Amino acid sequence: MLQVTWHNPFWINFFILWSLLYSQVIWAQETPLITDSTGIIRPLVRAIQDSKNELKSFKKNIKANSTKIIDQENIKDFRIVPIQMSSILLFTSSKYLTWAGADYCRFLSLLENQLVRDAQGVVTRLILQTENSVSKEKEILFVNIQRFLRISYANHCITNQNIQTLFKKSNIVRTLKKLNLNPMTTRTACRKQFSKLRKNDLVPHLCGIVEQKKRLKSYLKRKNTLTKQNKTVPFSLLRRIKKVFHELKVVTKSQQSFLKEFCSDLDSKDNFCSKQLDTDLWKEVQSGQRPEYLLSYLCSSLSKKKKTSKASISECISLLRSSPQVCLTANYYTSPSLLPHPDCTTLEKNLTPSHLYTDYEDCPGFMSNTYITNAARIIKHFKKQKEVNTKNIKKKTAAESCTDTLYKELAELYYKFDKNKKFDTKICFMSPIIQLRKCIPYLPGAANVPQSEANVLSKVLFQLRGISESTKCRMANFNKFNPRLLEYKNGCVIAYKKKDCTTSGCPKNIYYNSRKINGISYEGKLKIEYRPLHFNNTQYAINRQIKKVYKLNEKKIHNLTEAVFFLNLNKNNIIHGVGCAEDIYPSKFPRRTMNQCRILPFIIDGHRTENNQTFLITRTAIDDLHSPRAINWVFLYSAIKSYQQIHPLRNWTLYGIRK
Amino acid sequence: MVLENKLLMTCTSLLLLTLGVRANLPELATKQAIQNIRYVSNDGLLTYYQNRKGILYYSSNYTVKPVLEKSPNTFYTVNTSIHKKFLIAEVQESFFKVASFQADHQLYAIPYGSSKSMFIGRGQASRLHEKGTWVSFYSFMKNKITLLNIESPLITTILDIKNSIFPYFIPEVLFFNKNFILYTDINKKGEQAVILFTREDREKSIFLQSDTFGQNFQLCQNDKNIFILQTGQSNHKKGTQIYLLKKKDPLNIKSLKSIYTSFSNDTGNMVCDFDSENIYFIKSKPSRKYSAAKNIIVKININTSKLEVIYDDKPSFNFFHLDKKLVLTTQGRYYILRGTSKLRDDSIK
Repeated sequence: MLQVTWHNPFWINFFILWSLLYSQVIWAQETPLITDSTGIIRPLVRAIQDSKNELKSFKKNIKANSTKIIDQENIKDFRIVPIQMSSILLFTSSKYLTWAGADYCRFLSLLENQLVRDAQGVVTRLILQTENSVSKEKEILFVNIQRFLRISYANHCITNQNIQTLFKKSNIVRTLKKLNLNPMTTRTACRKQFSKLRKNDLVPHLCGIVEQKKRLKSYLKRKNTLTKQNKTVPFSLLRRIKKVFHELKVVTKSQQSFLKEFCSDLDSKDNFCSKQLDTDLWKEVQSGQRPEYLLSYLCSSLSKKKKTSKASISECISLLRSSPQVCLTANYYTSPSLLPHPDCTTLEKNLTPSHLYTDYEDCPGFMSNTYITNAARIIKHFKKQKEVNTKNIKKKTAAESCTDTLYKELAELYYKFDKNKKFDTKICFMSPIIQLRKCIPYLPGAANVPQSEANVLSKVLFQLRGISESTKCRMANFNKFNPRLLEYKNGCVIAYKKKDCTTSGCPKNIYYNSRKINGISYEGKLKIEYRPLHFNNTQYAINRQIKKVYKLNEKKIHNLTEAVFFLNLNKNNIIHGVGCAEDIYPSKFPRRTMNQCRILPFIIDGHRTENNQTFLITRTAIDDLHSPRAINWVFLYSAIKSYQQIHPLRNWTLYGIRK
Repeated sequence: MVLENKLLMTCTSLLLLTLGVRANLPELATKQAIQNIRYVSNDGLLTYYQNRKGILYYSSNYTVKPVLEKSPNTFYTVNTSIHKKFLIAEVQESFFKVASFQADHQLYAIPYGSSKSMFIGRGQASRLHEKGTWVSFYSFMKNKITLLNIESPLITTILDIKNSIFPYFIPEVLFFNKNFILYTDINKKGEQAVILFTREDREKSIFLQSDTFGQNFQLCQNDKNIFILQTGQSNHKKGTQIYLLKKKDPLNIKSLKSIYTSFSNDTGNMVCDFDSENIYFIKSKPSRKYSAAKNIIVKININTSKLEVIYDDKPSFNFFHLDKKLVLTTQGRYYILRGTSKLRDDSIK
């Protein structure tokens, strides 16, 4: 048998050869179709298969004494058997092998951190060939990695032991802090940082953190399977899971993300720095060039924290870059909307040209009429401009529920336009004075207008129970409401019946001084004329009201060129339209009969080009406010045309709005 | 896996060969203004249409009769099955003022070729089954599916839907037979499943389940088979698969056969009852960038799995089966994709 030691020049050459070819080997592994191809790949593919077979049959055939107690006295000269060594060189990631080079201690450190693989996966046992010091006989031993390291570290690689200490539970936070794992802002600094870190012997431990995190799912799966089968879960597995959980807890997300990028580009300084220094929207937000709200809602949703700090934004950006899929459901639980949202990479591209004011939270999924969502988004966009101009941006009140925010805009619009506007929604009760059923029109929400739900309910309580008319009703927080809580104990509270909620909405209960008030019912649907439906009486259409109250101008948009031109004129210009959802989202809302149309209003606030195609940045009224989509013009055009066909006046509905 | 790859390669090469299927499709000819029509028979002699006053009319043999009379701004959609036993009218009052995805519509059953109607409930996504004698519909307000025998309306089954947080999820329903029913549902993680419901003992069992968020199931059938399309909705986990299942064997999940696999997220919207040999669906044309993918209509032979492109022109469209015709709709116009558009001449000579 060929004598194999780590320092043997043959193996160093062998290792370099395989390292050079490694990337192609991986490619061959993942593409089964090329197994029939010829040339350089074929022998490599065969080599992989051969290595698997050889190692398997070697382990099967060998009569190894794995239980034999081995210590440094009775092992003199041990070597990894060639079959396993060649398998290690073939299957271990080239970036780690290149990093280790011919340094035996570094190789041991890779072994220690489970970064070494052979044909059967992560190497947990080594097959050693050794000579018994007593009998002088050659024998083959299976040695557990931990034991092997203990023996090795007894004589060699003292530094490795010191490094182990640095990554112990009590020290890991301090160690990582000292390494300063923060993204650099200049290329020179980044390259310097990379080189310095790569030279460090801590690399296997750092990349071990990344690799172990990746493996956590499979560890847990294995543990669950064993538990289900009533088998004992090995202590080593439990210890590993515990370690990973601890690391996930103490290593910050930005450190995790930095390490992930560092380890994936361990063999390429340029790749690492290019990724680090790429300027994108997230960076612009971080540096204050773009508004913070583009990130804050997304990040607070992902971190499940109400407030975002500079540090948490930094961590969040790392997360958005490293796990783009987290955006697919971001904001969802606070603001239900059409899923999935665009992934973070697409979202960053979509938000870059987007200029709609979005520093608030709405919830399309809770709104019974999509026109309200769209109209309120438009009002908020132009109102915000006004507030900026007058330096009078009102602070948002935390108590405002997401639907209230929108209803409030609508109520104020109606009130400003026509103080005596009557609505189709009514609050009804049996009047004790006239002994007749009485209904008062109202507009949902707690806006400061006489027709708002809160104010109408105060009137109703006065007539029904004689409660002072000055008692103001307030909307309870959807998730927090409990009549026993101190904040809801006194006064009039409008609360959702959370248990009876369906995806289409929630019925309400009225409480006064913690006691439920019976005999009040809600009736009717809120009807809105978004654009004129008749030739006469067109002034009550929402678009006309918005134009008049906020002194805006509308311009008909006929084609993509006009749309792009209009958006380019001024960054505050937006376009709104109404179409059929079946044309915008055909996979989600298939058309199955003639003239089927789910009316869907939308706002366009930017455009971008990809593969020579122009996409319009669009938020339909069922989309999340903070997750716009890039939609091809032809889809929007088809949607508008379909809606135009069935519209009573056959009206075109795509208009640009500007100050 | 290798077989799947070979199939994919075959499919891709077929696609490449048939690229550029651009037909000057004939427009759907009707005797009424097309925007008023809600259903028209293949020969054009039988029409259901509505006017602006909110009345749904039945027109045939020189007679026009009102079917339903509601308030102005009421909007009707009408669907039927290939068996032409009943039509289902979905009625939305104040349609242009209440743009709601979740409001329940009033549902009426109309015997095919008649002006009579019968109120059957409130909901959406009505679909006829069992030779057009059963109807299923979903109520957003109640979060329940109703299965109702139109000929004996007292025979009703209600299915609870688990979905509590996805406001735009609409379950699909399909009958193996009167006893075994398939429907789709979604859990809190956003993972969809196809569930087998047995009416006799009211038992439910998971038939197929996606293992990740963002996978969508679509169901359709012809006389002998059931087809289940599973497709991704994001770049996170892409791919589409169509399964075939023999109707006579509802409990044998092992008979589930994959007839189509693709790495792209296809729109789907299958039509399975246009002919017995093929199913038609919308496929994403292979593209390196998802956002630039283009939709085309393909048909797949259920026996040979051979894929053929039948429409590759305008990128935005819908298509559906309308009485022996495949109708394509784009930009508010209706075209005949398969079938004929000849109207029978019924003028007095």
